[in-house]
Amino acid sequence: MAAIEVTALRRVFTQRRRPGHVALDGIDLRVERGEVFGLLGPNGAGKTTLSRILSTLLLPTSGTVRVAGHDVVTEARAVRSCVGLVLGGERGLYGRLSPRRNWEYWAAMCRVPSRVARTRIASLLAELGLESRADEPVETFSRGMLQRVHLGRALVADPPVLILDEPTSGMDPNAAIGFRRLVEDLQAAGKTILMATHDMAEAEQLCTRVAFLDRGRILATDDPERLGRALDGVRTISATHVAPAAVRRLEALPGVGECTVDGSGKVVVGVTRREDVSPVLAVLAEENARDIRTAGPGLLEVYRTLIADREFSL
Amino acid sequence: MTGVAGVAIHSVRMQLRLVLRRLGSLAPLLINPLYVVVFFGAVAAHRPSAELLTSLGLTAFVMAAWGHAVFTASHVIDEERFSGTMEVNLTAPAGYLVSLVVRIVTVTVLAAPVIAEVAVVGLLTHGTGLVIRVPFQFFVAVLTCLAGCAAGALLLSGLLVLVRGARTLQNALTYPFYLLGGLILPHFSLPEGLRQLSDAFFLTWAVEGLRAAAAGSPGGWRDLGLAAALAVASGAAGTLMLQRVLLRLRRGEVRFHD
Amino acid sequence: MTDKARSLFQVLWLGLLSSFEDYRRLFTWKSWLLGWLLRLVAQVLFFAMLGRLTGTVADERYAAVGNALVLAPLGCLGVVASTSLERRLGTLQLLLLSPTDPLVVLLSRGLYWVFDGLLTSLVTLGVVSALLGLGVQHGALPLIFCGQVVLTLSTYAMAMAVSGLSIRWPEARTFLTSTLTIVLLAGTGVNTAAPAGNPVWSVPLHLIPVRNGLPAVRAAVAGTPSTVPFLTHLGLECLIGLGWLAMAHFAVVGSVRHQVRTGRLTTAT
Repeated sequence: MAAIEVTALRRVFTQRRRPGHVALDGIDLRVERGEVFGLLGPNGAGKTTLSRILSTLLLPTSGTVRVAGHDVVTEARAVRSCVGLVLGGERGLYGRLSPRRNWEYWAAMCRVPSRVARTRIASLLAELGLESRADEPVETFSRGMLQRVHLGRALVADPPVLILDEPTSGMDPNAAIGFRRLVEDLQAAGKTILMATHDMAEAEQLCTRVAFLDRGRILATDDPERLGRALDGVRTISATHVAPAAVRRLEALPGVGECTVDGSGKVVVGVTRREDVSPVLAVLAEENARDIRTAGPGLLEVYRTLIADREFSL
Repeated sequence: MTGVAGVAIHSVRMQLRLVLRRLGSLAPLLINPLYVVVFFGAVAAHRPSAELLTSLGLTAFVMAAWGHAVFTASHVIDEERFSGTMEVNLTAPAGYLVSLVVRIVTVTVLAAPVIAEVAVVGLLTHGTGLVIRVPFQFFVAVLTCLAGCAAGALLLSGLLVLVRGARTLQNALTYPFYLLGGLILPHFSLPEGLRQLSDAFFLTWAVEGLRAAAAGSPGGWRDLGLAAALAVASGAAGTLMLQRVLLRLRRGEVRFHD
Repeated sequence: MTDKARSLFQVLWLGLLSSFEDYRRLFTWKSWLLGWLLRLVAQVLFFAMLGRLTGTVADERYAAVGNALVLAPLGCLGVVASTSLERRLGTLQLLLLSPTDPLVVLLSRGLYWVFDGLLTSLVTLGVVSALLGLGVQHGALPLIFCGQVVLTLSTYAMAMAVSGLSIRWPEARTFLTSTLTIVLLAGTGVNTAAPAGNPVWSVPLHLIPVRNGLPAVRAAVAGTPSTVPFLTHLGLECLIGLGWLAMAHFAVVGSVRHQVRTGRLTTAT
């Protein structure tokens, strides 16, 4: 049984005297247990709507959605026992209360026995590095710490499925790296994680599979590497110890779009077609270049290819 | 402890902690009973009886309790929306409705000590506290009054989410209701039409019950019974409305935050 | 008009316009009538009933007029809340970045409370006059209006001083405004003629806005104002108002300096 199964999901927001806005339009999705699944797409693509439906905060207009085998409409209570929602930022916590008090309240709402809750809270405080500030109001916390409090709150009830809605937005790089490490630990512990994010590097690092959403539809679903390989996009080839003559040969090759060299003799070559990679590699080998590496198009390139650039238009 | 009782106990504790961390929200509770100074001052020149002063003291208490319910207790749900905690709490398997109701009642009940404050202020400024002839009945009357205020706060908190612009109408729930509830002149002196409306308002009977208990006059228990019945009815309506609010949020018909 | 004065008026005018836009979002005409005006009329009737409780028509009239007139000064206290809201929304720090004196900026942003107070107080006086038969003459309106402007502006200056304090101590805002409401209702002769009382108390009570000017406006309402007492009462009220304006300057400038020094201006409470 899959952790999340979505079939023909449609959500329309109706407004008085206006045509309905289709937020999700025929979504089919299957997330297996233990997966870290990324939802990628621009603002307004439907990521948050989907996350809300999965966490029972919003009812679908049509289609079926099952989480851990339970229907989100008819078995909402059972779904809620299996899902932990993690929001990003300062919203969703009682700022005047400490992490311990926030979690205690949540544990009570999830009917976790007090003794179990106390033990779990103690170990979560240690695991998330919040022990020293366990009894301080969370409104005094930094963004990275707040995110750990969010995660701890969701984990107090030990749900098998976690839904993370833009968990690292606005975090500094160190905090984001720390948070990603926590997600990796959770995956190792067998949790299923669905993560809506704008951060392509984060999705590449963490997700076993990703889905690209735009205007309420899924454009592509696969693992990040395969999506990149399938794309006829920019590939980069880098190497060190490249002589100036070799650089001139590389620049003369057809299909080489960009060729940059730094002072230490490291060269980075960009090509757009798959068939242009081999001649570049051949030249580098002939010129005895070292540390030759190739990188296919990343999720960022996939994103730029799949989703039309609307710049600042809404 | 798990189950509904566990949720209720944790909700009371949590709400008290939230209030204690922002004592400023209780400032009106501390200050509003001082209306007793205004009332006593207004009648002082006419050598008022202890009964009249007690009645005015009770008016100050009811105003403070009702005002607290309307402007503070009913905002529990609003604050939940503002802070984004409502979104998260709705994903709890059960118990959020229970928790909300318990938290609103908890905040309302914090107005209980105001009765003592009114008595002390009256005593200090005009040498007269509250004269209570039947203490037990008076105690029941205070509880009934607070229960009714909590029921009103429940109803209002649902309306604040469902009805756009309800916040600006909140002001109309104070003095017009004080007149309607007979806080100064007895409700039977109201004009026809308004009096019938007043009869259906719990505050009318709660105030009558409080005054009867203080004066030891007959009919107090009947008034309290009526007040309690109306409080239960509006409490049930308020709970149903909150349930409806939560459902409409899930349907996406109401936004989680403004 | 000098450039300085022109720019001062421009700031006040633009502040008023922008804050009036905020106010318009707060109310529709229906919610203003059913929510705000209904409450104010009921408030005046409530205290008038208190006068009736003691059995004299004179007391009822006295309380009705006093409570209708004090609505404008009470309305000005709204500026304390709106200044705090600016701080919470983060717009206060941006406003204070301007080269204009912070007091002028805040005065301009809250000026709509003065207009709102004047309007509601005069409309309420009209409604209550009709309901209780107070017999306020139309001819008395210009004098009543002038008197009300003085009472309202002097209270506005005091409210601005409290706004200054609430910038520094935001948690005390509700406490301060609730206390001022009680002081204005109990200490200025709104419900009953202010007794001469103990001189130790009467001196500080005379420093409260409204107390000095209210008898003048009452006389205008009754249609019996004598020029000299009328002007004397309002003159005293103006002096008290100017005193509070000076206090407001110290409170606002002092609080802003303190908040900038401690870096707390952006802390929303």
